[in-house]
Amino acid sequence: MDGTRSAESPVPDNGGEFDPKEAARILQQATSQAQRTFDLKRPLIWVIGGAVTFLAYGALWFSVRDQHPYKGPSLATIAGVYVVIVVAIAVSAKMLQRATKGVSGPSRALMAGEGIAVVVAYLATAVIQGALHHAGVSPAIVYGIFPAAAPLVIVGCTVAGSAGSRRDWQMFGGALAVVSVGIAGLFVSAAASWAVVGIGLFGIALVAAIAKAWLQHRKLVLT
Amino acid sequence: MTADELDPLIHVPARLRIVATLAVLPSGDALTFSRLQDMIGLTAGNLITHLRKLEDAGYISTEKTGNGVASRTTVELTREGRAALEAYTSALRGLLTGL
Repeated sequence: MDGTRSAESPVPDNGGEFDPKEAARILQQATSQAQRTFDLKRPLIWVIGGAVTFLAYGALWFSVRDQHPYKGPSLATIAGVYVVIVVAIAVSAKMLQRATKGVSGPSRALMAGEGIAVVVAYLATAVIQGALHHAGVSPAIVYGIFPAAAPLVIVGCTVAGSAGSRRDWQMFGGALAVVSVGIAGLFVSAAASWAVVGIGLFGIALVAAIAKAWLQHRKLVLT
Repeated sequence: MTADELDPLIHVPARLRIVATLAVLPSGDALTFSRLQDMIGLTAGNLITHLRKLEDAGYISTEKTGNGVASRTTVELTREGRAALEAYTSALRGLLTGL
């Protein structure tokens, strides 16, 4: 491994003979390697996550696009989306476990607290959906506009609050963008709501990927 | 600006790798000795030597928990360590711009 050779090379302990260009290279390499190891919010992850979300919402839209009157996505589509969600959660948990191996400190507890808050926010939308069904609200709301758009508004606000409290302005901005997409999804037809949300979330993921890549590059560039 | 202005404690390949790796973690977070060793690729003895120098300078803090086989040592970059790396990076950038 190149890094091992560099780290073990017999350079004077005071660094006197250590070329600044070589120092810049090592600094960039070590930072980049550590970012790849610890940071799950990498550009490629954003793109993959955005594409999976787009396909899931696209499948839901596809199953309802010609419904008159609106009845809601087919059971097969919903089951397929749940399988994707379960697989995505399992893969994310495995990646998180690998990335945070050996890491301890306040960020772990914060991450767990935020995770619980997001799950509770999702469950809250399911409870409200049940209440709307119980109240006899139309299927276009109960099985269309509400499940497509409301989770984005509720969960987005939850994440924005958490990100703002720890001054993570990138996450704060992203969460507000998600809330905006959710609001846009509330003001279109039930079928269109799935499409608006899918396209909106994919767009946010792409912007996040580009922003992350640019920030990483800017932080690393020394020469 | 000359290379002499670069912090000699950080301006060593192994210690630069150690500090740069720990700096990526959020402030207050620590990394186990074994994971750091895996990432840096140094022998345990070499890593201990470099960590001791950084700890003496107040750039890192270490904590040992447990006993015997279950013991675990964690390493954390201190606020002074982060400031030192920022100053080093800034000095390095200035030096390279002038080349």
